Amino acid sequence: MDIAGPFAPVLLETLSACGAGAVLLVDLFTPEARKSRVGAASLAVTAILFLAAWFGMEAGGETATLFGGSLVLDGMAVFLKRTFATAGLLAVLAAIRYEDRLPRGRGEFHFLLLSALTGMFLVSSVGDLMSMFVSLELVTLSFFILAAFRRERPESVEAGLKLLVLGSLAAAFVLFGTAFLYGATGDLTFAGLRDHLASLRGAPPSRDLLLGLLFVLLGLGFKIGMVPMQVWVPDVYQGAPAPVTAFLAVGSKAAGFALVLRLVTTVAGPGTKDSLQLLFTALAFATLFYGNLAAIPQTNVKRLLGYSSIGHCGYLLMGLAALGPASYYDESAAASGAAAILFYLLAYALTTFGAFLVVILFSAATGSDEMDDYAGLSRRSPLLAASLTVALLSLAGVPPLAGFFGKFMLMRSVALTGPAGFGLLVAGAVNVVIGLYYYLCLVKRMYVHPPKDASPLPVTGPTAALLYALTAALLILGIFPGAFVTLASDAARAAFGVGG
Amino acid sequence: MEPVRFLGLSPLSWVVAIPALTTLGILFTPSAAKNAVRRIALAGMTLTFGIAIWILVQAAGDVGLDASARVLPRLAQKVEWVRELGISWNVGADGMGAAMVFLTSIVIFAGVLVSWSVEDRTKEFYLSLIALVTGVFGVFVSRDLFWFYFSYELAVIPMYLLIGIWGSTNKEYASMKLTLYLTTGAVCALVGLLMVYFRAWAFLKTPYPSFDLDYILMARDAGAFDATWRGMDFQVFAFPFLLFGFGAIAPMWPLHTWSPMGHAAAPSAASMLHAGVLMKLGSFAILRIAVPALPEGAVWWMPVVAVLCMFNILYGGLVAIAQKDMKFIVGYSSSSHMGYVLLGIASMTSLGINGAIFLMFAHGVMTALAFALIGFFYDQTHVRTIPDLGGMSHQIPFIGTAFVFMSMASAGVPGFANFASEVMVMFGAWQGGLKWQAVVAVLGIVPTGVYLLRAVKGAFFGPRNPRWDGLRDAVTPFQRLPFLFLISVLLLFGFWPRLLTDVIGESADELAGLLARAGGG
Repeated sequence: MDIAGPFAPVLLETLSACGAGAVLLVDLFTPEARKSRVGAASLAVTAILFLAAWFGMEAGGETATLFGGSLVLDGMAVFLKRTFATAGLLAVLAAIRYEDRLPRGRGEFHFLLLSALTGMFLVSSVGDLMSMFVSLELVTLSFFILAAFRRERPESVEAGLKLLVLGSLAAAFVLFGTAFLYGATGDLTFAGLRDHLASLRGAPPSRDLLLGLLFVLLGLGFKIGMVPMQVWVPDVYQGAPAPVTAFLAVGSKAAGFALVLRLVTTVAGPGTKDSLQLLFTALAFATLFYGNLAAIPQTNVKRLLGYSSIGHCGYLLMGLAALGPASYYDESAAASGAAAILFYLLAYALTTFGAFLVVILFSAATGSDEMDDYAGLSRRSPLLAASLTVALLSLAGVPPLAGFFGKFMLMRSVALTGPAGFGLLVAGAVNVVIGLYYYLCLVKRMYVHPPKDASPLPVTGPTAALLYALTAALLILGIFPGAFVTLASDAARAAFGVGG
Repeated sequence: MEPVRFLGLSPLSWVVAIPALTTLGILFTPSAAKNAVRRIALAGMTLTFGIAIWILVQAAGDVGLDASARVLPRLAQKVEWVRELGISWNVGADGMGAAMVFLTSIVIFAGVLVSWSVEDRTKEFYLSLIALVTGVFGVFVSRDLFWFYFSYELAVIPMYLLIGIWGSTNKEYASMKLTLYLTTGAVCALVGLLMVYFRAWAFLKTPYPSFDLDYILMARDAGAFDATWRGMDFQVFAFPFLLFGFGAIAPMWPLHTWSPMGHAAAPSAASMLHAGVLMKLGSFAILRIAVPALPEGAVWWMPVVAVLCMFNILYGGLVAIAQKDMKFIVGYSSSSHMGYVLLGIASMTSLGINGAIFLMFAHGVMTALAFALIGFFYDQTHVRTIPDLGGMSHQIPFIGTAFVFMSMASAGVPGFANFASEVMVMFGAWQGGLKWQAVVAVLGIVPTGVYLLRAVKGAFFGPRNPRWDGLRDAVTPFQRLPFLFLISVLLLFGFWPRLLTDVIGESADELAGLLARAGGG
């Protein structure tokens, strides 16, 4: 069902921008004692967005463009918007469980969540470099403020500042690269870039173009937590309020990958794929090992998840390394890498929120994020412990959970590049074991170690229902991935121009 | 050929579906209703046991019939799962698979019974136990590389929880070591599987690649794996990934060190499953996937296996002599017995492979019995080192007698299934030209006798020890059931090995023929 006609490309953006404004208005006219209405309004907005994204948009429709090609709606955009809408809904559900700890400004908090979400929707369908920059900054600016929202806590301020300073640097990289690309091609749209490369007929592009591409990719690498642009991740994850961290982990990574995918599907061709494959293989190697090895000695859950998110960025980069060098290049392998990334992002969104929801509830009850305080959680609250265990095992990539299937798809797409991808395949396999080790260390604390404080941690009905729903979603995505894989595959194949 | 279906699913699919549904059933039972949890588990596993017997009977009935009259092929079921990736739910069984499904259902049936006394977090215990066995069944019936790997991994992780939570003796270290070893093996095998998958597709050039085992075998026959890979023969390059990846769980020396420690730390039912079936996944996977897909690679690497398995047999046996902890004795003895299984495979003869599969079955039942018995008295004594025990036959004569039966089976006394299968392995090895290995394998029986008789003597015989006067024996029929059940299985197949060897024989013939054509045997 297509409910927006020619305006489908901006349907969700319009809805969420209006929703963000509405939330501010609700906040303005709500007395202090009834502030929980603000959260309810925000939840209503994201619920509508969720329904509109999953049931109001056609996945396999024709590619629609708007505003002279600066916004496009294709299968990939629809898939990403669905992921973002899911993440937005979960972020608001998590924020509602957190907002009692906000000293002030609930309305602004929800407004910023929704404006970040608007930016993410825009990111999924950008068609030129300028709208890419603007929508990306909309996401990042919202997160600067959100990360520093608990300004009475120095860690939170530090998180916001780090994100601001390093984020500006990354933005400068993107702009700098954009200027180079414009200089090399004389066009700002992705379509123009594609035409320019096609006109080269397989000859390698100019050095300016490659340099520009590299700068843009590095700038985007900041958003996804890719080595060498990853330094902000652990501090910001630890310092930011937990629902913001979860939304940042999912949203920023998915937004960054949405753009990287757009760019790569545009520029991948006979003249560039050798360098792109080499670049992404090297980046995936470095990011995988950095993230997973650095996660081992962590003692704080949020920091652990921060480093592990760098590791997950490494896995996602494997999907880009599936481009393959010229000798083994195959469009279906490249498309299967992109499809794996899309599927992985959806699985990662659900898994990450599953984990952070427990972190939020645990720290609300105990005031701690230290891993040692999770000791004996299975006796204090079997539900919390089981939910976190399922989420961690999904992150580790254990069947029958969503994360397993995502990792399997990524490794499979690398395998399809033949001997060229062999080294990366082994690296991915090794990192699965490293990841499993540190996730199990937390599981061990919850199940094996005796509790320091045996008081039970009660979970209210709606929260329990949410935890059950997330766990069920992870199982469904892990055991019956077919429908989602079809959506992701069709989108990726269309983006790479592979038929049927 | 009319497919056999109950409610739309083949009995082979039900063998996986029933444990999966049992897991769900336990999940939705309140934690406080411990007896309900136990009964759901028992009901599910009894049903699975019934289906497994039915499958084995069909397999036995098929022997010697021509293809059109057989029942087993009618049990195969293939349902497309993820078209883009070439994944389908694809189950099928041959004699080897039927025997292993039967073994698993025996061990888990007894395992559920002996775990009746678990009181700490009963629900989570049975949840992990049945989830584990779902994975094991999945490996044994699967004919799709994806589901094979999926089930394989699924079987590994619950073991972490089983040992970590309900285990004893150094459990944190043991459980982590076991999980990391087995996962490393699994991902190593995954790399091999993906290489095979890629080569098959790059050669056959179908629109989509496929994880279907038959597709892989078709690619093999078409010559897809005869290419080179990074300057090496592809088969020789890829085979060790599967061999050592699956070999880690087999457990092949020197990748075995997780195993005795894991056995010792695990609770009884987990040890039973662990030594009884989990270790068999490795040899099974080598026979099911690695050898058929890459026969020339197998011929190249089998001499290496023939040497490594000698270390299993001798080293495992000698280390077992030096142990004092009963579970460590049985643990090292398992790694020694698995050496015989590997020797049978390495012989590349039909007789040897048949013996190896039969020994997997016999050892699975025997070792399940051993851990059930040790668990029974350990729950009361809380020690299991031989110097602390002694004279227990005065107080628990039933357990003592059963333990003697177990030891005789393990030491290869005629009349038990272990004897029949080990003899087949030794003859097979001799026939396959592994003469000095066959001699060493025969000599390897000596340490087995030594450590088992020492254990029997030290723990059960000798003067009455008043410290154990409070021990309760297995007196009710319900308590005795698992032990009597396992002993009767061992005796039944010991006196009548053809019940099983005929069923396995055709799978073994096929594998041996394949290896012979590839230049070995």
